[in-house]
Amino acid sequence: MASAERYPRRRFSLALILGLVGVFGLTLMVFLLPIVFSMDPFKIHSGSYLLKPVPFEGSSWRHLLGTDQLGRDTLARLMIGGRATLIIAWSSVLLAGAIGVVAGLLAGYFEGRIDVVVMRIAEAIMAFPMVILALLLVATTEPGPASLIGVFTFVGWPHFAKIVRGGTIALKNEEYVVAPRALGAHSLRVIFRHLLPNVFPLFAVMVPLQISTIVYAEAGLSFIGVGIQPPDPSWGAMLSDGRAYMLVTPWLVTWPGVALLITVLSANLLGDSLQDWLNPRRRGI
Amino acid sequence: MTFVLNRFIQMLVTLFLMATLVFLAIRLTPGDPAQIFLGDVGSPHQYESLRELMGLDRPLYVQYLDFLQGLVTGDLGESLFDGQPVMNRISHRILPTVTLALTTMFAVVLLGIPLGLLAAAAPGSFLDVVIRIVTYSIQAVANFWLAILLIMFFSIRLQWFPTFGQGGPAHLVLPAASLGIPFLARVVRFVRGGILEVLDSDFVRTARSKGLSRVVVVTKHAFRVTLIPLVTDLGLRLGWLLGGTVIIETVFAWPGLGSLTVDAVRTRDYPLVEASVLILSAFFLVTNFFIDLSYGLLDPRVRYG
Repeated sequence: MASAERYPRRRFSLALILGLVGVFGLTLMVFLLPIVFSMDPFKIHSGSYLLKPVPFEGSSWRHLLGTDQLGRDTLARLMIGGRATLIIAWSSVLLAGAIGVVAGLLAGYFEGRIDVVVMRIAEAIMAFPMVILALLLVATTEPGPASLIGVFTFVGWPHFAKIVRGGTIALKNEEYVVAPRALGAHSLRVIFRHLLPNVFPLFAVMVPLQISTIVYAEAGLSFIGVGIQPPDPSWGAMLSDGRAYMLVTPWLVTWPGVALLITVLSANLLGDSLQDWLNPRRRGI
Repeated sequence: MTFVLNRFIQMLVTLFLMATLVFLAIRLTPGDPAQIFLGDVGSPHQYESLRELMGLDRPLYVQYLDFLQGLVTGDLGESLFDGQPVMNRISHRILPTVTLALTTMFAVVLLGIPLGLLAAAAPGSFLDVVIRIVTYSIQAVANFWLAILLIMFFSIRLQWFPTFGQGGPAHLVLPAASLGIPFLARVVRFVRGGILEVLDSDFVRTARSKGLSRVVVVTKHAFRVTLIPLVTDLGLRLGWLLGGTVIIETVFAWPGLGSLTVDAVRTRDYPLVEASVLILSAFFLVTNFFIDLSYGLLDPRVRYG
């Protein structure tokens, strides 16, 4: 009994399935739906301001989730906003991951001076509260998706570097690393052919959790008006704008919040259950 | 004592690196701050004089030395708008932010620990599953969305609490709740997980076999062990809390450092942005320094050798 509890088998948990379906379902949805139904987030339907969603009074099947104060379709804005959010999140996580993995591998493999320099910079970046550092960087660049990707890459890479460095130090005295080195393989070959595949899971597990952090941070920045700029839709800005009309229709501040919750929740589920998968002794969600 | 000194020096080094990063962030990121400040309207002449006013026309190392000297003497520059020292505007913004952050933290700890212990009472039961699902979902709620929902129900519909500004304790309730509820969910999960982990260990089994009741073992033995990871997590979460404060203060027009920072970012008042970001981050760093020192009080096994 006790031993079964200590070494549980790896298994597909409900959380893992929900997380996978959530993350990839949402991604497919925000990319495909707008194309399939040719949605236009900017089109102003005059006469249909602040419509309620479908089963409610005055609603229209043409605007399933209702319209905003200018008569723009909420569903279309939700999808296009989500698409921007996910593009920003995925690009910055993959960029930050690439930088962090390389930096972590080099720092962990060579140690010494390169390690001190890389890790000191990484620690200084991680010593900031993340949103506050992002705010500082956003202030110094032209607002928009490109600078958001830059900002989130900058604040994100140290997290990957730290984990990968730890993994590299733990693995570099394993036989499959020592052997090619003894045979005279070039350091870079040892690092990228032999170490990289083995630290890769450390990177992969962090991806969903970083996605969730960035989706949340981007929504926060757009909410206070320094992220994605109007008229481009974003969940944060939709929440912020919807506040002025919440007495007329609370739906405007409901949809983006729910979308944000589902996205963050499914990315967390995926990340946490991947972590359990890698490390079955961890207590589950 | 050596431990304290070591940690103190480490903290100063990190603080110095953070300040350097703040300095470089404005000057080395793509985009010229003077140009961004002026937008499309400035003339070349205005551009040159603004650069001079901001000190950007000087060599980088001169600017840097000047910046460091300013840090040591507590002079963090002048606002681009009124030419007043930024410290004047910052100083009376600090207390509201500290009040909001610490009230939230204390409320979360006071509620989170007992709730977490209760949640650990019957692992695997139906109630436990419900608690886990609910807290896991609440953790993922965006605090600025929660703020809007709380305003809709408690401020507009029920009219229990004011919506904006700072005044009596009533003004504190909604901002603190928006920040605290997702955080509370996390603490409950943390305490629950920690207790269940420890309940598996040998010293707990020994205490139980001595005939001590489950309640005594959990509160007196198991809980003490989970305290250090909890305090560490709370310290790290303070950064998250301060980040949240920035947004929540804006929602509730709370006159703290967070809303000041956001205003400064929006108007691109760079000296003010630099100073307020540095002070918020330094507050986070210094708190975590004290948390490191507190381990010795919480756990007698930790010695500062």
